[in-house]
Amino acid sequence: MAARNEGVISRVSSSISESSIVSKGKSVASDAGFVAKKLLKSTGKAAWIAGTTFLILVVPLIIEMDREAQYNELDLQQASLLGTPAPQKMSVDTLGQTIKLFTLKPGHWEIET
Amino acid sequence: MATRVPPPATPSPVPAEAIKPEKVDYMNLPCPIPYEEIHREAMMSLKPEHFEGMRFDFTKGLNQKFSLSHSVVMGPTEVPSQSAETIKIPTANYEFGANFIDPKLMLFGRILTDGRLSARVKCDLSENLTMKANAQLTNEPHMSHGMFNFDYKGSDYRTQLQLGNGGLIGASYIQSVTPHLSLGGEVFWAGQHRKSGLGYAARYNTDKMVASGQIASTGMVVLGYVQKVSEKVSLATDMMYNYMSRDVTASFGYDYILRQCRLRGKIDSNGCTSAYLEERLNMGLNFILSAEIDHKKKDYKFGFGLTIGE
Repeated sequence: MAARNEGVISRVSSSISESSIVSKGKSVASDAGFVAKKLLKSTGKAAWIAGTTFLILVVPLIIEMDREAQYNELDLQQASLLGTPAPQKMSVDTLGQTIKLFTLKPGHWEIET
Repeated sequence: MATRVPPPATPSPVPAEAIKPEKVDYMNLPCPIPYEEIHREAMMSLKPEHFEGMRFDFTKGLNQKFSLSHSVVMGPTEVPSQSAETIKIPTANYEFGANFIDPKLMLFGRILTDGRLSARVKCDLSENLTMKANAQLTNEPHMSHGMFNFDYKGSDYRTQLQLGNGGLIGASYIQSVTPHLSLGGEVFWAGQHRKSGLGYAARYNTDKMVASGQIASTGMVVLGYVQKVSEKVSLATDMMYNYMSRDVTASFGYDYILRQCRLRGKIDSNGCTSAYLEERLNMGLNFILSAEIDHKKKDYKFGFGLTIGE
């Protein structure tokens, strides 16, 4: 009984594995795997080229532009401190403490802490 | 008398006159730039001196006119080979140079530890005539050469006569046609190789852009275009086509001249990306970074350098 049963199972399984649908499915799956692998590889390569190109061309540019902006800011600050001081405000540095003076009326200074 | 046209002193024709293009004085055109420097701006932006390894340059002025230079270069150098792969061998070189600079006379001499010697002379013979000479001596046979150039600078044209060893004779002429456009041509004859050629060039420049084109009978076509975007930024593109070997290269690059640095980047149609950064650390102290990657040939070149003096 058991042997017959086994025989049926093996016959069924062999008939399934030998059917054209299964072999077609197998080849499609392997094709899909191959294509996916190739696609992944080529995307990886493209990403690598794009990344290294970005590293060479754009990263130094960003860093230098940032530095330039910092210099410009520093210049602007210095110009406002030395060249044309703000007319209504000045600060006095005494004993390491900065006291800000501001005025409401000309010649009359108030202290702002 | 009543129908007489009123004198043009009325305010209405002023804007119309402002729009009208300025009359070009064709007798008073500016002097063009020399024929061999026709692509100057594009070359400056797109072809910095990339190097691999380390370099150190030191220039010391002994007095106002005389200066000495020392430079050390270490790194791999490419050896020409038949195979597609590049072969590199490590080399180290020291170069000693002496310069004499005077407005009327310039002398430069360089000697390398591997035995190469080069000398350049630029001498103003008269106000318009300049003589340039350069020579290179090596211990390898047939690699030494010498060349004499005579440049004549007219009011709106320039001519040049070239004489070199190996029977090389060349002449070029460039003329300003309008205030912005200049056209030129050249002929050359290389006696040793029994080759001769003709070439033409055109250049159009305004203060915002420069376009230049050159064609030669050797099959070379070179086109260049530089656009000045702002005071600090310029964008450049060029194309090189060789009719004989049918290869064409186009490249696009940027050139940023900032307060503390100059940065030049370029990408070309062969998949080669390069950048060149010159950073000013201090007065007379420059730091150089050079990078060049060629994905197709898998050739990666990185270099750093220091320049002291000048």
